[in-house]
Amino acid sequence: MEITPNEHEGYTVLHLKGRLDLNSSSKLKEQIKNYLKEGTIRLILDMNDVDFINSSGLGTLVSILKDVRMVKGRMVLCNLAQYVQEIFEITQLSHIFDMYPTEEEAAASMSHSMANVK
Amino acid sequence: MGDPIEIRVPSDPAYLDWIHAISKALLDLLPLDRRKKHYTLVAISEGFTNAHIHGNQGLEGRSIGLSYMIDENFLRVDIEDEGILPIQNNIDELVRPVDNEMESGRGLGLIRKLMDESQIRFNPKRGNVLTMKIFYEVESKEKQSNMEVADGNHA
Repeated sequence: MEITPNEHEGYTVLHLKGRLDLNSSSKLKEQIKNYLKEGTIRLILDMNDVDFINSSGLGTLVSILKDVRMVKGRMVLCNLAQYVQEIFEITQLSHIFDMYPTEEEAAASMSHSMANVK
Repeated sequence: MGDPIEIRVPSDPAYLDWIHAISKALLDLLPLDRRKKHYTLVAISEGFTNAHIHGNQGLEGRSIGLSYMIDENFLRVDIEDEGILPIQNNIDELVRPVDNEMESGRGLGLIRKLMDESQIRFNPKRGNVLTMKIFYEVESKEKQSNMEVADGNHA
């Protein structure tokens, strides 16, 4: 799993690449924990290059979402590949994650929620 | 049905990459559409993870065996661990109720939904054996029904 951060005003986009499974998900969780510790609590996970996710990866994302909520942050997902999105739908996790078709839409949503907080 | 293709690897998540590559290479040779190939890869990954965590309890020195049986109508994949105690013989009794906030426990439910047939049985000489089947052309009625529901939710 490759994780490339791209920082913006008020939020950070993490571009993920590879498979999200038992072998790789701890790296993602560790990196996001560090962001949250540093005060970066608004995150967009760009899943464009994630071609595979299983229940371990899903569980990790749920765990991260809980961590983000604990610090009153926000995390959204974008650019999910068709079959990856289907796994979210089959497990009904599409109900608890905010998911957007593009990074631009995810960013607009993040900016909108920041404006509401102000 | 010919002889199965059998492999055995250490019970270690590091081998997930290996299993993924081998399974994908095999699936690419079979008359399955892209969705079914993807779903089968996810199910195999779930089976391996389940065998490592629950069957072998994450213990070093144990192994996981995979067996791919190619029939003219379906692919059957068996995944066996070295679990001492039987997990359970009925996969339906192991599938946990849906709780969106849970961080684990979705694996068997996912296998149930992604594969056309699946079952777990305990073999005293081998451990727990997860058997999964995916048919090349005709999907089971239950599976088709699941997909229709998923499509409906997506709309």
